[in-house]
Amino acid sequence: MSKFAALWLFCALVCGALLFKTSQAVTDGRAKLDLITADTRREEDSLRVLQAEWSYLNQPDRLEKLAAQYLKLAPMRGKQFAEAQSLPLRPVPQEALPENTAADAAAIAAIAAGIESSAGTPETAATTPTARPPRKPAELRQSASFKPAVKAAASAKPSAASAKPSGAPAKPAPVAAKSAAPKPAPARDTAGSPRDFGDVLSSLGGTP
Amino acid sequence: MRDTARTSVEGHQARLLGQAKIRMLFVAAVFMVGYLAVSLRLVDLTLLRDTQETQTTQSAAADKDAPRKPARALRGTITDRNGELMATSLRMASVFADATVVSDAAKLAKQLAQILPEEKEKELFTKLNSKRKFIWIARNIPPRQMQAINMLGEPSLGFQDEARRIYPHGRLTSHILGYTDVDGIGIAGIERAYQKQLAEGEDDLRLSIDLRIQHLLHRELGAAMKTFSAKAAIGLVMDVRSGEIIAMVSLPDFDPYHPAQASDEQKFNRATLGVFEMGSTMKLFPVAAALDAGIASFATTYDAREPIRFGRHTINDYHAKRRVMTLPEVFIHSSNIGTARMAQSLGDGGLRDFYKKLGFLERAPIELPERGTPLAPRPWREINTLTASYGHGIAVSPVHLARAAAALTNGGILIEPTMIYDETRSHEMKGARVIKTETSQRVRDLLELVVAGGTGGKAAAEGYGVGGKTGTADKTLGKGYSKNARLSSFLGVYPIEAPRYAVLAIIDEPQPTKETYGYATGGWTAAPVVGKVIEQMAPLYGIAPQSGPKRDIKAEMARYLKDSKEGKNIATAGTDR
Repeated sequence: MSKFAALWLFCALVCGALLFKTSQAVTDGRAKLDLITADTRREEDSLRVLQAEWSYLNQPDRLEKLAAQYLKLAPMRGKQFAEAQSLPLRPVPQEALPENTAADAAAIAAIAAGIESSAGTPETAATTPTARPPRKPAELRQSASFKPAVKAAASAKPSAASAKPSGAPAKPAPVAAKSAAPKPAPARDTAGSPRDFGDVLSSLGGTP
Repeated sequence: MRDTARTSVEGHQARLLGQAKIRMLFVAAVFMVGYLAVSLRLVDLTLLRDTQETQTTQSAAADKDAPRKPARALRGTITDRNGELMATSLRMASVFADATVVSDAAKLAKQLAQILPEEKEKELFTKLNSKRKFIWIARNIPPRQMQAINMLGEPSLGFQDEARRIYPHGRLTSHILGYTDVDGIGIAGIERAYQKQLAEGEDDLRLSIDLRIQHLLHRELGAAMKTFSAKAAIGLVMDVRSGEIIAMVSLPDFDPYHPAQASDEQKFNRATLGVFEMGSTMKLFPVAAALDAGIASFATTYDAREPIRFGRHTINDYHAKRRVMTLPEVFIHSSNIGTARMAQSLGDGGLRDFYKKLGFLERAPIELPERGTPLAPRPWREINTLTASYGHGIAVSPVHLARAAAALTNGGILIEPTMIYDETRSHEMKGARVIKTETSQRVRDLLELVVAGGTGGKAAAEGYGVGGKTGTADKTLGKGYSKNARLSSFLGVYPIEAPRYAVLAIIDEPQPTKETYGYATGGWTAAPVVGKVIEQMAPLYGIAPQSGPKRDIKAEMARYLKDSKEGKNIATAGTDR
């Protein structure tokens, strides 16, 4: 047997072994890919189911009923909006004038300049008797009865006002009310859509 | 020669022997390689790899075919303008059984009945006991039930994937989306219009609809329909600058899961397919045409003392003032005589040309396949001009009406209505100019006047400037017109200073109630719907209420209005026609 033949034989052996290994690797890889593809498809499918369920649960009609049942909030109305400029300025208490004129002026300016900027004013305003906690614009807009509140704050004694600001009446129904959950937990049937999404899906079965 | 021959023969033999040896070796080598590979692989599989991996390889090989085949893409999803899901397809499993291999039919039937509440245990038992090779147990079951059945580990049961179209909002979107057949092919609505794109299932289809507004409109129209025991109701909300349809309701509607059970009446999309004689709401158009052509101004007067006689026809006013009226008076009193005279002054075919410009003589260019062809007189005679001026003798779809009203109020551009979300549209305002910008302002003044002091008072939304026009048309009954069957409508636009949305409400055959003092006109039935929708819609869209000094349109227009008195409405909601 020539040396050549032996060499060829060796080469063929090595090549065969390599080829075998590669082909095995490919088969393994393909199997893994199939598993991953199947997993992805399953995930995509369940994602679709969840999206459909989310949309079902978010039916405006259902949300409306739930909101009426659990929230002490109502849809906004046009008349509840007000502009900062249309707010009457609070009269400055006379006795506060001598010592705190500068601070008052700053506070008034802050209010007049627009309620949006109120976040920055507490440091200067808190020391003055006139100061009330800055109210957010949303609160102002939602409170239909902010006028009496302003009056109440104005009539309060300056000393009392400094300690406990009487801005409370102007606040709208607090959102926290929902955590109080005064009503007994109602059955799902009474709240919004009578049926579970699963029921809806299963009710579709049987139809051609 | 001989020697050489012998040696060559010997040489030949030796060569053959050598060849045979090599061949033998080669074959042996091949076998050796083969056995070596097998033994190596055996060692590899049994000793070197851990068991789990081996298993996965096996199982993957078993269902090699299933996942590799590209799964047929599910039908695409449809969302509203905010991305809220309106339609999707879910892969749902159907269970079948091979009844020949069921070991304990009674037990299995009991287990299945617990999982599938819709199936009766008895029926399941008969199915499982039938000894048939293939029998359906349940179709399209939700994933949770499939999981539960899978957990039974019953070898006689199998699953088959089927796609199912889901409409999470049900009836609310039935006329917009339409529905699909058993094979998932769109039959009506958007499902049909975008069949090709949806079947490919690649991208979401984002509609211009806003589900919140859709719900508002649906709720208010439904309530009005109930209150007035009406036959049907139609509602449209359209963005006047982009032409996008924000909401579209046609009542009665249907359950999109069971379209086969719905009547034709329910499946009929009145908002786009239905054409109606709209009545006085159409008066807006001859008025705009006359103002735009420069042949009329607010001071122009029209003689409405006598009914117009034209051949066999007599045109009369429902609440005749029997006097000479200015143009704004004709509009707010909704005088047929005055409007007819105005249309006459437009000249031969003037009104027809204007209606043509507004797209009233052809189908509305909207994506839905359900598009009604307007009914217009052919040939168009002079009498047709007279009657068409107050909305009789010409029937258009609600989409036509809303689109034309949008064009008159948005500054004069006629925009193609669309159901597809497109951000760029409102900036470009692509379309043909139908009236001048100044005329559009005049039209808005008139519309504002109708709500501020005329027949449309009930459409007023607190804090928001609304303009609009009422309409009440007698419905055709055979050859004549019925006195008791009407189509009451209100076409509103807001905010009237710079209109953004047109809201149209139409109530079909409303019956008067005690609360409306026996009236079933547009001002009493449809206008409140529009008012309520606007009131609730505006805060959602961040449209600030009017601020600062309010415009007193009544005072501004007083010099054109004869019987305007301080604090008194010029026309009441009951008198509109």
